[in-house]
Amino acid sequence: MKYKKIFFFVAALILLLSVLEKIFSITISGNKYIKLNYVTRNKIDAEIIFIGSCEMLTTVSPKIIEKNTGLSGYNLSQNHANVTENYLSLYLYLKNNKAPKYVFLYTSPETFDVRFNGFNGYRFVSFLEDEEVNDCVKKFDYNYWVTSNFPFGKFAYYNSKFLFPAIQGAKHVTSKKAKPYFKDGYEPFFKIWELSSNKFKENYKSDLVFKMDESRIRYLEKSIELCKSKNIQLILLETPMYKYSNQLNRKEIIKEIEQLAVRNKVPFYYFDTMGICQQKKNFMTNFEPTEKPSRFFNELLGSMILDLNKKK
Amino acid sequence: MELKSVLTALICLLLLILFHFKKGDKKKEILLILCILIIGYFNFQVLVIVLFISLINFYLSRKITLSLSALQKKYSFFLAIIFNCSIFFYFKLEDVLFETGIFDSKHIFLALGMSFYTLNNMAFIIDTYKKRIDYEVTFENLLLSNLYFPKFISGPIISVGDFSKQLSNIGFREIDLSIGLKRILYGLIKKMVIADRLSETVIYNFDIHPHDFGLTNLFVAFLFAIQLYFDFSGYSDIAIGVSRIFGITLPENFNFPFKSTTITEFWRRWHITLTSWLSTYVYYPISFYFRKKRFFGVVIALIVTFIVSGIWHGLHGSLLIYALMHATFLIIEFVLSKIGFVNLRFIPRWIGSTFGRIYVFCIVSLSFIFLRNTNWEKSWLITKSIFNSNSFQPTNFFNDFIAKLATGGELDLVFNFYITVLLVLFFMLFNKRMTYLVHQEKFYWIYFIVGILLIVLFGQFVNRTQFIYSQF
Repeated sequence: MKYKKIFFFVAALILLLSVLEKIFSITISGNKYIKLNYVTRNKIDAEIIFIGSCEMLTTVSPKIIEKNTGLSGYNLSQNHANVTENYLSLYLYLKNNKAPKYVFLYTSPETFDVRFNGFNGYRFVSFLEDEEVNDCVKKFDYNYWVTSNFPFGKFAYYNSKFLFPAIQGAKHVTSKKAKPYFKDGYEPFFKIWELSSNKFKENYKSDLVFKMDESRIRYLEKSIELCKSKNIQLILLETPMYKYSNQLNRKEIIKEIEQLAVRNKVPFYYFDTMGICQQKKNFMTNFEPTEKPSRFFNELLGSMILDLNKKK
Repeated sequence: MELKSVLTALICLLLLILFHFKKGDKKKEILLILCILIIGYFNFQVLVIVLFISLINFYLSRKITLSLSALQKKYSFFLAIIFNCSIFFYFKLEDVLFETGIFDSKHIFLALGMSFYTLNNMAFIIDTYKKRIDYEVTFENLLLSNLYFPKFISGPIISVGDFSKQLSNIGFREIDLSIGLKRILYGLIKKMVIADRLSETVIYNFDIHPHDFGLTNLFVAFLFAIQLYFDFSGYSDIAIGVSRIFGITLPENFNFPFKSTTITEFWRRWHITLTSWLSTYVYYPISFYFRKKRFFGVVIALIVTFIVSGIWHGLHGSLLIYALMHATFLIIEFVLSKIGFVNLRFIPRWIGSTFGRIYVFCIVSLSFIFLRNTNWEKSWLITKSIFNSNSFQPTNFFNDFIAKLATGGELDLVFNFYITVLLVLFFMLFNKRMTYLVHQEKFYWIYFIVGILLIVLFGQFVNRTQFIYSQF
């Protein structure tokens, strides 16, 4: 009798968690505000794709670039995304969309330093069945990968990241009216950095020494290979940053990235010396320009793309 | 080492199976071996230190018991006290020097659980000297009392004599299993669903982006008080629950402390085992010594007791401020009770108790700012901002905690924060009812399922904080 009770208890618990997992799977994958879910369930078919972390997300406006070049674009960047996430985002995008003409991949010394932007495994919750995604999650977020094998485990481990999107997603699934927050994926900053200059400097230490991590280089090269296999022109891009972000070996690392780009036969654009980089008022954080200076940068980038397109 | 780790759960399971099938009286030995393995696995040096300390204490306790001359007894007694104090101060000083950057120590983890087992050994020596132990304590019992893993890091504190008595109850009983499991689940909910969720807001405001917005700081101080209660009482619940399934009953550490209407009452309900230890071994002896001084005797005893309590938490100025704050309020309450101010009969009782609870919560929350930050200047800046009318602007508070709901900025963060607030309110309101259910012998399957669902839906699995009291 006792063992029967225990058996029924465990069975009821597993059943309940499995039902909950199914509900969360439907609502999360149906959430149109989650970029990866949106681009894999809808046809974007943009001619230019911009991928990176918050720097790219808040700086590059596909709409302005389209105005200048006539090429449609989509900003696939996500906050705190690292080089592996960028590779997976591109990989998942290409599975459901036409190959773009150009892919701009955010690349900076931070990209290769493991102290910046860890791997956010929870972003790929809807794609864990995919072998490539599963491998990456296993490699970079092992605890999450282990937990994801239990009923509801893939949502329980990062539950604070899923609870709200699940409720939001439920609304999207049932109403079918919702549209993504930012149509072209670009999320500009309208607010100016409010902290004092000292705090601004403190926030990003000037004595920081960057280190290039081998595994991160490998995933950047994987992105390059993926683009080559699809006949896509890949461009490495570092968006403008505030001048205080000139750390000790930043220039040396930029040179190393240049060499890496030459080795892999891809262009590398960076804008460290641009005029907008000299004033704090143009920035929201050290790396994120506000909307107005971003517009100026986007026009410049647009003309560069136009030149590139003409050469092609 | 964390109690909630999977490894601990597996070890408990292994122990249970062993106890279930093992007949005879070797269960104590099995438990001791497993405690040695667990502590040794997490830190071998800690194990060696505890073995050494236990050995010295046991040897000196034997000397106290067996010595025929009173002088020799006294000599052994003082030697044991000096030995324990030296060990205690050595590790606490090492901790201070490490934090101030003077000392680059790699041995900081050696102090794990030290505050708790030092109290254990001190009480054992004093009780032996005063002949208060009515149970024969073997070396095995003393070692197990020091190494017993559920209470190793943060208590509850139990005397070696009482613990030794409990050891005869070791075994597997269904009732104990039912109560123990409920208690563990309740502790996990307190820790993972409430304390760890609150810690995000507290860490963000006090550590990552410290500011001088008074109202926000006050609100976060309140949150920290709640976090500390759920964190520490959650730990105690897990420790008591794990012990219960082995048949060992550990003493309760909390009794709804925020229902207290005075600070005096608060200390009868908060960290009960420490208060009881301090009362027995510090407060009563001092107040007895100064009994002729009447009022001043009590004041001196209170101040010394709280200074000892502050030092026990760590050798930091902020912890001394924390202790003295409580001592001051206890003295004020003592004076007021002497002049009959506390029993004002014309005030309706519910008004008095509501006011009392608010008063206790505010004072305790403010004092916990000093308990949290070992840097007293940092704590002082936070406290100053709360009492500074210029920085006590509601604008930032509304921006941080309310306006984001309306503007839609960082909606998921705001949502998570309000979910936490709702969970806290729910737990505060139904704490008594839930505690009652947890203490019942009957096993409610449905509540167990609800508890597990609460953990998987709202519990913090990543960015978990250590149990706060494990640092002391």
